[in-house]
Amino acid sequence: MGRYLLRRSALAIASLFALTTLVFVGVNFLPGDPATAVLGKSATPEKVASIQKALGLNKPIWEMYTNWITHALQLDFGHSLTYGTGAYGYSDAVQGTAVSELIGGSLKNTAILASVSMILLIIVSLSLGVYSAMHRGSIADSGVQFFGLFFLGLPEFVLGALIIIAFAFYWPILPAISLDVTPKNLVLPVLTLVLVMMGSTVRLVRVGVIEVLKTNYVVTARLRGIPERRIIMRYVIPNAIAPVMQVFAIATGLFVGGVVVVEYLFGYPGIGTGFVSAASGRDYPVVQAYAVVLGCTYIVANFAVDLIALLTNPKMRAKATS
Amino acid sequence: MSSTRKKQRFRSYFSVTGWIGLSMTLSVLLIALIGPLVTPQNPDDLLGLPFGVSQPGALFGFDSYGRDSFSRFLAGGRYSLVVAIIGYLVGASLGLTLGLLAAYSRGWVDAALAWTSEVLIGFPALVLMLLLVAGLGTSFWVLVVALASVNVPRILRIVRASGREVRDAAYVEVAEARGEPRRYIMFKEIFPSVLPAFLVDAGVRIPASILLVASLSFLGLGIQPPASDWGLIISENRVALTVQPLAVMGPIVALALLMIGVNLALDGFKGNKSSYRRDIS
Amino acid sequence: MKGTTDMDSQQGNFIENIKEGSLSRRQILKTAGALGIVGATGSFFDSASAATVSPEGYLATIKPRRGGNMTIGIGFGVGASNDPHVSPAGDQNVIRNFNVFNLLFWNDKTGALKPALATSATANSDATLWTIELRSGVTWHDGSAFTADDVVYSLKRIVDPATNALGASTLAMVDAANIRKIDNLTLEVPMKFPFSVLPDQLATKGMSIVKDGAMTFDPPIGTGAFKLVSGDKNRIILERNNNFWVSGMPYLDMVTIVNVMDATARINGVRTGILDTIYPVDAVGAASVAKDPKVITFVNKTRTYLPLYMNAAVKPFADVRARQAMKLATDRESMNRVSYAGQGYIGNDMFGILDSGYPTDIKQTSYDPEKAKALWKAAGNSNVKIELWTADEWPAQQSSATVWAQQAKKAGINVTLKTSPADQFDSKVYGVKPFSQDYWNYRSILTMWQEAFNPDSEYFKVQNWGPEKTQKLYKQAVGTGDPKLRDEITKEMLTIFHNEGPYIVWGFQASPDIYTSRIAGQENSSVRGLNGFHLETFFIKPL
Repeated sequence: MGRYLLRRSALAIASLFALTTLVFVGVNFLPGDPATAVLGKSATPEKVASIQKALGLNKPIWEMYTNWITHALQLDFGHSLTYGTGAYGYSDAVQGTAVSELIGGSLKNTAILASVSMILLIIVSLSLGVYSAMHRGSIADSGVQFFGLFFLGLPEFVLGALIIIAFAFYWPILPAISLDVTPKNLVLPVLTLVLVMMGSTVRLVRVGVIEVLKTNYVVTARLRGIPERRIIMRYVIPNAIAPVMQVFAIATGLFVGGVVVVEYLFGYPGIGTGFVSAASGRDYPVVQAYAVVLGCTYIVANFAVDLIALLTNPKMRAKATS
Repeated sequence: MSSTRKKQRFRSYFSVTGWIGLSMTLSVLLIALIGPLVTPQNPDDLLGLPFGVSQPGALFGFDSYGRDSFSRFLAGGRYSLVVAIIGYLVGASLGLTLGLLAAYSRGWVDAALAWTSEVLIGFPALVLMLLLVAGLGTSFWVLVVALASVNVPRILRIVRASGREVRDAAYVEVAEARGEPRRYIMFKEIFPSVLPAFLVDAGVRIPASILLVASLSFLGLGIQPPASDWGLIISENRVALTVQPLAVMGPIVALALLMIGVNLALDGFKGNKSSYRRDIS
Repeated sequence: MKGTTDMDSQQGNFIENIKEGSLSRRQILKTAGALGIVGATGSFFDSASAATVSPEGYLATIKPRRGGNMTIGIGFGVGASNDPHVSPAGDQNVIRNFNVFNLLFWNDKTGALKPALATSATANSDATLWTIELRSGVTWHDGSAFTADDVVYSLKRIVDPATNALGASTLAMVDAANIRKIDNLTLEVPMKFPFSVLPDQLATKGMSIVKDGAMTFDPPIGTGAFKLVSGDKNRIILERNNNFWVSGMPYLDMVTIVNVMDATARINGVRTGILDTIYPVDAVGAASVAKDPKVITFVNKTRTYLPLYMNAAVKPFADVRARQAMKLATDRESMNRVSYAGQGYIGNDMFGILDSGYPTDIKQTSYDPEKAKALWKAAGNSNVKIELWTADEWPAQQSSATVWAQQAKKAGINVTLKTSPADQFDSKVYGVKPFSQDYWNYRSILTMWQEAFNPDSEYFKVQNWGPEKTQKLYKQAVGTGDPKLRDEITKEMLTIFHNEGPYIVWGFQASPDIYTSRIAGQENSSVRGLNGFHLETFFIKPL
């Protein structure tokens, strides 16, 4: 078990390292000189040189990389190129706003949106999934299946647009855009995320539970006349946790992409909008930071899910120890 | 084997809903492939007023530029489809080979491949593609490479997992004893048992790749105008969803049918143990 | 401005306020013979009628009042440096700079040159020394008085290469080392060569006046109608400057500017009343709200233009016949219809439309595929393939390029449309690819010329066009103090430009604004949308 944990942590750290390296390479060595890009039409050789200096682009590659990574480890992602006094490489003495300061707020906003949606998603998919598994073939089950399929077929950018039209125009009870974080503003983005994800998660939970229901011990328990509710609590749920956790592990990957698109659709001030906005504003240090943050969230979430699965499932515990 | 028996065997692969799903999937693929050849108008020609509504000769009305929406819908499926399929094929051939190699090799080769793929899977698919596209631009081959790099480690993982189950089987040992070359053992002995999992995965992965390309186009980072593309058509015209909904309905319905169809087909595919999923993470 | 209602009398006040500092007819007469007097172009008031359509009947009955908050959604990230000299030319920066800071002169909604922090500018007889008089009683946001020291500092700071100021090249003719304060409200600005249109240069957007000694701009101290209260990358908050030098203005207590990246989300924001107005709005967006009764639409027929440029140093564009063929292959009506909903002015391959120095008697070039084909062939280009590079960086950029390429194919030009990612357009395409697009806000004809068509211009290398005859004419134009003569010369320059120039000027931007119905005080502007970015005239309608 200890060895498994060690391996799993090593993997997470290796992933983080690979992620930061790829982000660095992506931003620094692919076509498109950051200095020229940020200045736009008004780039002159002098201005480009001054930005390159501010970015440290005039140093050797390996030095740039070690510099960046040692700072990134301390959560210092440098200074914004487009925000704050001294942005645009005005002088060495005055620099743009620190990136970590810039992205702090959006990180918090996204954390709120993502955690509310995730909690709701888990509650909804667990209850609907378990319910339809227990009542296989009933009308309710078919209904859940049908709606699951329906939402599965709509990408976030379509579903979001339809939800806005429904709840902000035809039945105007909720805001069409969410410029700050209030409960009312959260409703539609959360609804979009949950519905989009629900299509697959409810079905996966249902299948996971059905597999457990087919196992010998549940069948035996039934034969012994143990009440249904007790069967669910004692046998079904504990054994379904592992497959269900896998469902949400997969979901986190989709979730990252979904959050970017949903934030963009609703103008929600989070990481997703920040990422798109920094990318179109050519603020490379900020883009780097966002990419690292997005990737880390995913890696850490996956790690956490694996740990929970390990701790809750006797079978996996055994496998990990062996 | 007579053709009727073949047919019967083939039919028995799917349940009724499976068949419905399969036909939904195939009809969308058919529209995507043949559509560009049968457009009633040139999809790039300016024929009407921007967001002009439906009229004879323009079934779905006009788009934001005044081009025929119906023709653009017909023309708009092929590019993403071709990108997705080539991106998948490139990824699959690499992923399959490396996965079999990992499964058979054991030792440090296996460990290195497994680790690398786990690390790469650590990137969310959309973020990886955004990074690549942001750096390399949005040409056809960049999209293919981006898709392939999303697919390789994930296919590798699946192939390796099911290949490991048979690498100690007696028939593999027999082949080894016969002195067969490694390539022979990988592809002739291990591959057949990996095939079902590989095919089911392909069934999900290809449509998911199409959706991924559509999402990129929607964010303005995929296929570039003036090309017709379903994701692009949705993003160019969704502002007028309340005014000229027909301009976006074609692509929305087609993408929905594709995803629903694939999932129904997989669900109705007898012997498939996995369940609905549309992600490829 | 019909001058009968309260609203109009308010605007009258505004005009009076400005006029008090501007040159009167009498002053002009007094200095008759002297060179380069501001306003001597005669365009103070008389060009107004030609330039704008007033939203009559709408404003006429509403009395402006103080108070309230207006929320503006903009689409490019509101962040950026508060330093008005180095923040790039992007509109998000111009909106903030124009309301926190002021220029010495400005182009009003008709494009006419008006005094702002200056009250007059007078040149000596050979236009080598300008004397600028400043407005009295202006205070900075921190309460200190505005003086000539601030202006001397600002102009020197703009020209200083260490600043990397955006406007440095605009003041290339200024002998910055010898700018001198005469008294508290007067300064002298010497020129390197005779230059009679300095005030036009001072009215461009990089010329904000900052406080003497200002190096950091957190918060920015300006003289503008609004003070910056707080800002992060998603939202900036401006509040009323109670000591603004135009009495009574601004009306709003507060302006909130938020970043809403997605164009559809911005439009949804106005339709549901969460945002009061947005910028930019494209033709597609305006069309989508045309029938929404909760939204008011204004269309600004601006003089901003988005030409296709051809690099005249590169084949096939080196041949003037090729350039002419390209112009004839341009379906201006279609481009205007798709990109500007048919509401923009059609271009005739010249800039400066509505200016007094714009030749109006040149025949409009129209779409003539046959003639284009013949010329293209005559230039030996029948089999030449060309690439048109575009990106989604500027409003209507992609749509106009798409339409151009589609229509030019019919004129036998083998053109492929290439799209660059927006963030690589400036570095990889603009000025690198021989055939692409440019984007110019309004500026006077000669200011525009100085930016691009003299061999020492900052943007000359983009199209490499500027024959000796126009170089000579330019020198003559900036050397003469006679506005009539100057107009004659610019007409001649533009005629050459029309015939041989490197620009396909197919149209001028119609910039629609959309507002919620509670907002009033909008005016159509021929300079840019959103009231020309001047927020001081907006107010909240009484219920």
